[in-house]
Amino acid sequence: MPQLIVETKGLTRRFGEQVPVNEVNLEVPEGKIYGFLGPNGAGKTTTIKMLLGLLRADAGTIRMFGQEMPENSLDILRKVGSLVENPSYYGHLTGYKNLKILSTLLKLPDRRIGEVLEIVRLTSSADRKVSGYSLGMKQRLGIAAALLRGPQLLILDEPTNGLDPAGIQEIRHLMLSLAHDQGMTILLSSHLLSEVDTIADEIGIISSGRLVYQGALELLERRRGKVLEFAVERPEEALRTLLLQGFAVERKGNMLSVSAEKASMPQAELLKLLGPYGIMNVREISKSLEELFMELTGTGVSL
Amino acid sequence: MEYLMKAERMKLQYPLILILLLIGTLGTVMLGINSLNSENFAGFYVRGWKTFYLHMASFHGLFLYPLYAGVLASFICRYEHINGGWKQLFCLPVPRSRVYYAKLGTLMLLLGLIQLLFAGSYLLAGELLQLGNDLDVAELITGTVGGWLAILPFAALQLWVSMRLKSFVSSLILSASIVIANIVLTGLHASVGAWFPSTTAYYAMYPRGTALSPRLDVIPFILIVAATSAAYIWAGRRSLMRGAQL
Repeated sequence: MPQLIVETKGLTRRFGEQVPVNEVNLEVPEGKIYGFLGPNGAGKTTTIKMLLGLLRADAGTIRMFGQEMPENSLDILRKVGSLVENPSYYGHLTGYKNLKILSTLLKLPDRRIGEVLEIVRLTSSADRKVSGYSLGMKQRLGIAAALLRGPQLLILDEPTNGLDPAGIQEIRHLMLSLAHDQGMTILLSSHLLSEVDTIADEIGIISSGRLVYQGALELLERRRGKVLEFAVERPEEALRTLLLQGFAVERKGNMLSVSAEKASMPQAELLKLLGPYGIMNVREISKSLEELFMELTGTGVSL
Repeated sequence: MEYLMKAERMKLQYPLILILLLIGTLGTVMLGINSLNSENFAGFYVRGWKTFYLHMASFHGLFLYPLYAGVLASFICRYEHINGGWKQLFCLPVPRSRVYYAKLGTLMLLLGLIQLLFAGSYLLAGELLQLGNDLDVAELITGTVGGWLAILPFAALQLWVSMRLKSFVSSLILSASIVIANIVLTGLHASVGAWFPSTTAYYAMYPRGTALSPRLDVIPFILIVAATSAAYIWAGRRSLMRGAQL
């Protein structure tokens, strides 16, 4: 079991009557890409802000690198690069100067600035004022700023906002190489499952302030149930038989939908049971991850 | 602390600040010369270095210097407010109290620079006007350095306000209106007037012992300046520690 880089217990933030973050137990293992998913307003940014000490938690604890946050914030923040909400920048200064200010504050050599500019491909625009940058370039500058200190943990809140498809692809490759080649731990938030499912090792899904799923992506995939649809000649009797056997069945005309949440689907058994009622057609439908995500984050559905 | 101050200086919008300082300095000199030649004052004061200082110092201490403190404080906070600069600063492994002191230090450095410009322009203009030989260097140094030290409470107050107000314009209007009140406030005895931090630079810079000198007891004055400075520094620092800027 790898060490946990981020571990929260009962993390809660209240805002009047609302509870934007409600008893969240986040577990981000070392060296993994953790996709932090949820619809807009689910509490992702609020959670991330508490991790970074930008907001106080009303209840619960945060441990990062085995230390309490925010009590040891200086030690912890030294190892964390972050990009929260919109990228921060000084518009009246050039991209290079923006990073130079940060490297001065972090006491890093100037060489680092060239390196991170190269990584995000901003070298050619480094001497232009940031106010003239496109949204995507500002986003990339923000990522460069987060990478500047060579962090062990990278926290990126919706990093592909405002990027074109090519830029999104680039960021994905960058994150894969940072995590797999350099062993960086990456916490990545997004409201789109499709954005993280190709790169994340672990995912956490937050909905209305509650963490509704956390674990490996494969486990979630296994969880998406399959549905078998049978068209039979005598649906009434077939339905009765299946219900008696304890299957979850829905009937539409002569179509019977049998959902099997479990991984081991007794397909053969079903075929045998339904044989006598004249099977005309069999179809297997699997729910997409996206559907599962909607189900998990939708109202009234919980695990 | 050094590297924090260095980073602050890198963020400054130098062309803009330079233009502001030059316009202000030029304005003070022009007004000083104008008063020097004015019929209204010519009867009371002998034309000379001392009179020239008195005219320049009263305009500078009463209006321009406190106004500078407000404008520069707004500048120092503006670029943090507009594009998430505070957020980035707070995510750095740097204590927030140091961020505050770096800002206050930078503001005081700029205000010190203004005092140097004031003294320099006074000497240069006086030399060009051939004001004679009653130049009082001790008074000039006391006034310039004293004014700089005495602006601290107002600088701290303006920095606090600028950190709280995201809008650049409203913090400017606020400092301008506070400064206008100086006309009345500086007429009070310093032991009362100095509690209003916009007045202290004037009290400190105006020469003592003239007909129009403010009534001032030195020790209570210094104590008031120290007490108000401490209060506004505490408030500004606290605001930053609590992250009221986010």
